[in-house]
Amino acid sequence: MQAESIQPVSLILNELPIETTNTNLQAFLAEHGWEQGRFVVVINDNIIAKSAHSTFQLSAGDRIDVLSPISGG
Amino acid sequence: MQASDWTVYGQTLSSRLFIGTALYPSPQVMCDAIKASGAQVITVSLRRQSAGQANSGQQFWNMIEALGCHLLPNTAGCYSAAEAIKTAHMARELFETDWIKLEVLGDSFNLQPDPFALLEATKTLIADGFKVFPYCTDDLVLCQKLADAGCEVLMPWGAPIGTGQGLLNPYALRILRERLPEITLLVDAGIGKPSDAVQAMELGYDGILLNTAVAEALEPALMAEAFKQSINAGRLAFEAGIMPKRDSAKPSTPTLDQPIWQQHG
Repeated sequence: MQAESIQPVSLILNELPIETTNTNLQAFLAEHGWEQGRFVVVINDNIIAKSAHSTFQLSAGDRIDVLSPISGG
Repeated sequence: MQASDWTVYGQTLSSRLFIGTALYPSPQVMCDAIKASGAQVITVSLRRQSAGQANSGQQFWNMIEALGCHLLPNTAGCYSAAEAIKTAHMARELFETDWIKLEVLGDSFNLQPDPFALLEATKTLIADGFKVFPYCTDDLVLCQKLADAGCEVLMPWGAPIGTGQGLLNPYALRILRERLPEITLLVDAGIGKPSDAVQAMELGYDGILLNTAVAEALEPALMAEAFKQSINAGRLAFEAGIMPKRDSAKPSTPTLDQPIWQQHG
């Protein structure tokens, strides 16, 4: 389910400014390649549980971080 | 012969080697080395990934998932308690484990842990339900306070991360072992070669966490096997009971009924 706004909104994705018309989080993530798999989403310093992605609505100015597994020592 | 099993936060393990997943020349070399090491716990981390590179994190995840090891996410690169706490929560969500290797650094030159911020973050994370594996210095009082805060496991450094200098302060590590007999102790960081690991295990350490010494070996899988054997040997020696050092010689061959009778000065 995609909730699209008519006007694009400005967001920060992983520290880079971005505009989107996909204000539904799940749709926004899919737009950028995060559809399935292992990643965690943090919006304005709050972790958004995967189960909430489909209903979460993004707002202008939101700071979105998407984190993935990497190697570590 | 395999050393005895041990328990870490309720998880029974047979291998006493925790191994990192970083710095290998290729993903395949990493997988081969981890398999050769026999490790059952591997350390991992998390980072932002730019849009369009969403698959690379998934590829790494698929590889480590196939290894079937327990995951120990870290908070590498954090320089404050707040950063480390935030990273730990993200790691729990990402890796679905409440284990966290807690790193809170205080100095960028030698990556030395900040003991004050480490203790602060430890208390918060334990209250939040984490099983904390703090990467700490070998300071006895810090370690006692971390144990008092509820850590069942402590991971003092042998030397700064990635230096391969071995155990720079065996005295401090020995005292930690003696003063904290109920705490699970792993030497984390600074191990450069298998004999360093043997030394720690002979002191009675429960395990070793290392990465660079294997990843940067010419043959990582071969070095992983060497560490596997050395850690097992060191643990067996500790369990067997090591003889005390003496200042004077003591003949190993019986002198009673010797067929010659000489008096030596």
